[in-house]
Amino acid sequence: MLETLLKNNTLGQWLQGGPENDVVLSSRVRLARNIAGYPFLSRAKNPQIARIERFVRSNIEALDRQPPLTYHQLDGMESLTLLLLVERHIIPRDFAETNILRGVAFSEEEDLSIMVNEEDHLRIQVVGGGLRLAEVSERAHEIDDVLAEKLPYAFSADYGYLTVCPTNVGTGMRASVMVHLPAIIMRREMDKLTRICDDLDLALRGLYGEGTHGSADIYQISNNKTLGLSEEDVVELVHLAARQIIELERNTRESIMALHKKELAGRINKAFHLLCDAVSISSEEALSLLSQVRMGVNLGLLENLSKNKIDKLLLLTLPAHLQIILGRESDRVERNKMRASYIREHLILNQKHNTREA
Amino acid sequence: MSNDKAEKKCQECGKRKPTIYMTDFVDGKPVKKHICQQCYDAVEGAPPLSSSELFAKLVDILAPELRKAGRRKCPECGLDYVEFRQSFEFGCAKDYEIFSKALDDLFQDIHGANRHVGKIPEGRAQTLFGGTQRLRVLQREIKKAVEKEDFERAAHLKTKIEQMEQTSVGDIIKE
Repeated sequence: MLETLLKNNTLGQWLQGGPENDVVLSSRVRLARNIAGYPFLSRAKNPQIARIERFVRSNIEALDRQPPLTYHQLDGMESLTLLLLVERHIIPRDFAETNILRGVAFSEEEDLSIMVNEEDHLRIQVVGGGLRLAEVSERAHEIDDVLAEKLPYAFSADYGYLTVCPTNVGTGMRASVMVHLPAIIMRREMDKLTRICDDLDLALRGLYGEGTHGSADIYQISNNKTLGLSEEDVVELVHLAARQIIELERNTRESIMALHKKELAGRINKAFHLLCDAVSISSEEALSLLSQVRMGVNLGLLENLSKNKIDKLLLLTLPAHLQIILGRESDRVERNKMRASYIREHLILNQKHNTREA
Repeated sequence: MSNDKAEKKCQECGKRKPTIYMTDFVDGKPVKKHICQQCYDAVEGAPPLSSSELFAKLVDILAPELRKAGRRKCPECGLDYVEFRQSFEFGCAKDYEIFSKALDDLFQDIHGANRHVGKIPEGRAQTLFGGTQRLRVLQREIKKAVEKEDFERAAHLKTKIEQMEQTSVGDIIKE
């Protein structure tokens, strides 16, 4: 599985490009479902957990898809592989770290993953590059409908889809967009962002979910409420917020360009050279510098560089990716050196390549 | 010097004796202030509660919920309402039915609503309870569809109501 994830040199869906990609990296919809007749995982005993896993898994494997989804049991999986799946947003971090019989099936394009025995018996996740929530939602619900023909979902007419956590009950649906907001952060205009989210009652989280800060100036915006509003309402709400945030980020970028173009160019150049010259660099630092460079590319301030290359580096220099690419586990100190040389190689190579072309 | 100190007044209210130095942000710039406890409380919220006060407050919040939930344990998973409130996790689908009176209030707090208005599962999915209400939900959905002039969906929902009468809760899969 690892081989396919890295060999294809794919970026996963969240860095694949798409509508409004200068700000919105990806759109995601997640549906939480439980199977009627079984206790929730919070109370299930091991034999029941095993039965649920078998039952749900067999129905996922029976899905008629080309190419078929591959199912992977997570327990017994190497920790590095688990982390790789987390870094690619195929599974959330908590799921990698729990210790029950569980698994995930995902498509080759990584646009669909179905988790078994996550917090709920079943979680369906569909991701697409850029801003395309309605389409992503539709795809998630198609899969959901097919599975519902075989799986007796726990559902109540009053409360909708029944979930372990009361914050998911109802539609069981979380719609989110991942946004890159370097200008808003640079201008310290987080309060405007928070206001947009508060007004629409949406949650604002960092790159890797709850409690994480905005590494690489990347944030996730998602709905808080799941009961009392329809799936279409949820999509509309998050889409509306995304539109407002896109406008805010673009306006902020423009205003920096209008007022401080020289300083901005200087700063982005400096970030670029720090990346090229570093002997050792932490993941956090690399993300922060790459974020600035990404904005520079978007604003045409760094012409010899493709956004795709930067997006690739954003993913491939994360700890698990780096170790797998280089073929061995390593400690932080060694990793930071490897990361620096990996980035240098790619950026300088890129430059040479471009100057030769020019 | 000591006289100076005695004359100082709170920079917020200008009346009481200031006891706290704090840094406030005015237009994004830090401003140092010397203010009294009352004004500090007004700005920063009440002082942290002691554990006994906290407990009393918790009981106050929980009491109405607990009264509604009663002392019943879920016959299927054994969860009681206090345990649920501690872990904030349900143990099985039945809990939703057992604690429904208290949950209506809790969901109102969390979601600003306590009735589902979204999708209704197709196929095998089981309406575990509230079967009669399901009709209401469907009718509500139909009304919404008609308002949006989505007559195709309205017709689809109508067939669902007809199908509903034929499904039974009995054939839940148990391997």
